[in-house]
Amino acid sequence: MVVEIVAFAALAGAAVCWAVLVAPEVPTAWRWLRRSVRRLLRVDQVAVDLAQADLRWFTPATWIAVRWALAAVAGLFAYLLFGLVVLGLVAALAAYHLVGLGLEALRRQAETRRQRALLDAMRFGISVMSRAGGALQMLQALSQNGPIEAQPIFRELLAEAGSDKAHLLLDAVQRMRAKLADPLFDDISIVLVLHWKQGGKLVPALEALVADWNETLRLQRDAKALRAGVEASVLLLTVLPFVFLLLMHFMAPALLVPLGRPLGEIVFALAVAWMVLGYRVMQRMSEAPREERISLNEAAL
Amino acid sequence: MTPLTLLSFVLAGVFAASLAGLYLAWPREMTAEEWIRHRRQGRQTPRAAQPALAIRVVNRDTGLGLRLRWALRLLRADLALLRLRGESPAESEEALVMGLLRLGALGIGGGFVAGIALWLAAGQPGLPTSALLLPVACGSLFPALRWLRLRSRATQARMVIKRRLPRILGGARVLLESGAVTPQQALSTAVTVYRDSASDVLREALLQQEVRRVELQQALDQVGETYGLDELRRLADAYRVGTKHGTQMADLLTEYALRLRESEHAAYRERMTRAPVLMAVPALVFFVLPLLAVLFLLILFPLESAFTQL
Repeated sequence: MVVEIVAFAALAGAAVCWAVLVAPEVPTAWRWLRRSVRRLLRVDQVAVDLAQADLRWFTPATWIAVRWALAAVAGLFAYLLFGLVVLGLVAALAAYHLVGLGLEALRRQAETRRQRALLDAMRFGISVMSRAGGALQMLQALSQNGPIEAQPIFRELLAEAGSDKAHLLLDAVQRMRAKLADPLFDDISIVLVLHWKQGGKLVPALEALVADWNETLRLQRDAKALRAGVEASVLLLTVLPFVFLLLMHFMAPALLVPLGRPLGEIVFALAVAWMVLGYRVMQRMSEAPREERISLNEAAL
Repeated sequence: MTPLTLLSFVLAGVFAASLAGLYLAWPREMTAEEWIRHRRQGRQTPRAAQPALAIRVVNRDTGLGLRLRWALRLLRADLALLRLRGESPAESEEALVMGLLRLGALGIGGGFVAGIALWLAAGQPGLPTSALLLPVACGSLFPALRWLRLRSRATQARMVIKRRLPRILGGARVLLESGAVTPQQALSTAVTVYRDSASDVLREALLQQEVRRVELQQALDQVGETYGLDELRRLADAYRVGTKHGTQMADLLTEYALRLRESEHAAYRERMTRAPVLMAVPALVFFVLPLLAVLFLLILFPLESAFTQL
């Protein structure tokens, strides 16, 4: 009994000592942990993707939770249906990946639509400005008669500013920039900031921007057409083995009995892991260059 | 002595060590003697260090020396680039070379121990082949993996810079066209506005231009050489040609940005054209082989049970 008490006291004392020792490091460790988790879950990238996909009502945390929950449900469902741990894991992985692919597809669609509209809006703005209009008139014209897809953006921008004062308009532009998270709008905001802060000329700057982005979007469209076939091949190659196994399961389930044994499950797990690796390799091979956002330092203007 | 008494002694030891650690780590003021010793250490000038053995080998004018020097130049550029991005994998190239050699030695040692263990576990008489092969394999594999990782990180960094450079140049052109900055200021303002590794590299060139009082094209050349960035050297060439022919700065920036984008796109087009043929190999290795393995398993298991029943 005495020995237990001594042991307990010694352990408790050691715990207190270590707690006191590490106490100053706890906030730093907590910050490091948070940073690591954010980096691991790519929270910032998810936030940008959601903003670009026009899914602003989803917070990154909610989106990540939904994605993980869907993967867990799919995994559980597959396990209950087939009774194989490996298939449960594959289903979870597939569901997780498919949700990600869905977001990426939505993002690409929304981005293409928005960038095309913004490009048209810039051309429209140039024509308004060429008829001796000011920046504010251009924004008003865009919000009322501009390209349909771009009208809400400029209407919201003007409503947020609520005034024709330059600093309020600048704030509204910054807020809209954060909201859209679009690289094209980032560049438009530079032109507007330059105009309101330093009196830079709008028309030549917008013309330069239009020429630059027109070429970028043309190349992007070309890249999309190029990778369409390869992406479909990669997806088909990945799905076909599982379709084959699924058909076997429904047509001759007795043939798949060996996969339920420990050795069979190990071999199947290794095969699936190898296929997942192959899918990643082939996906990397067909990955298209993406026009990413570059963080801006508006104070420098 | 019972195990519990032993455990209590161990725990008492843990407690004593923790208490001592707490006492030593507790913040307190330095004594005068400690302070003097600290200042003396700070004042001592570091001895002129003799270059490491690896560096001395590299500096010789032999065939091996030349090849190693070429590798060292690659390494130097990679390290400089990664250091610029704040991802320094080593203090200097000497430290990295020594680290690679240390890793090689560690691999040889580990491989030898593993080889001997394997040989003993197998219980086979004769020459321990695994004890000879594994050290060689581990000794070359570990440093090679670290080297490849460094190279791939630097290559990725270069690709990012190559992809984003047209955007920075386009931004410079927009600034220039707006009339808010002079042609000389366009690039420096653009690199201040955009916070990115591509603008960091351009900023480095602009700094060199100011500090060394050289032409921008020379500074771009030097920075391109230091970080192993061909795009910067080509930009320097474009400047050189543009200056000679009196090309406007805005046109020069546009043309170069366009050329960069088109070259990247051409590379992608080439990759995609080759993809259907190239993908046959990963398709075979990653999909057909595991599927065959699973099919063999499905066939062999029933066969095995059938033979057992016979």
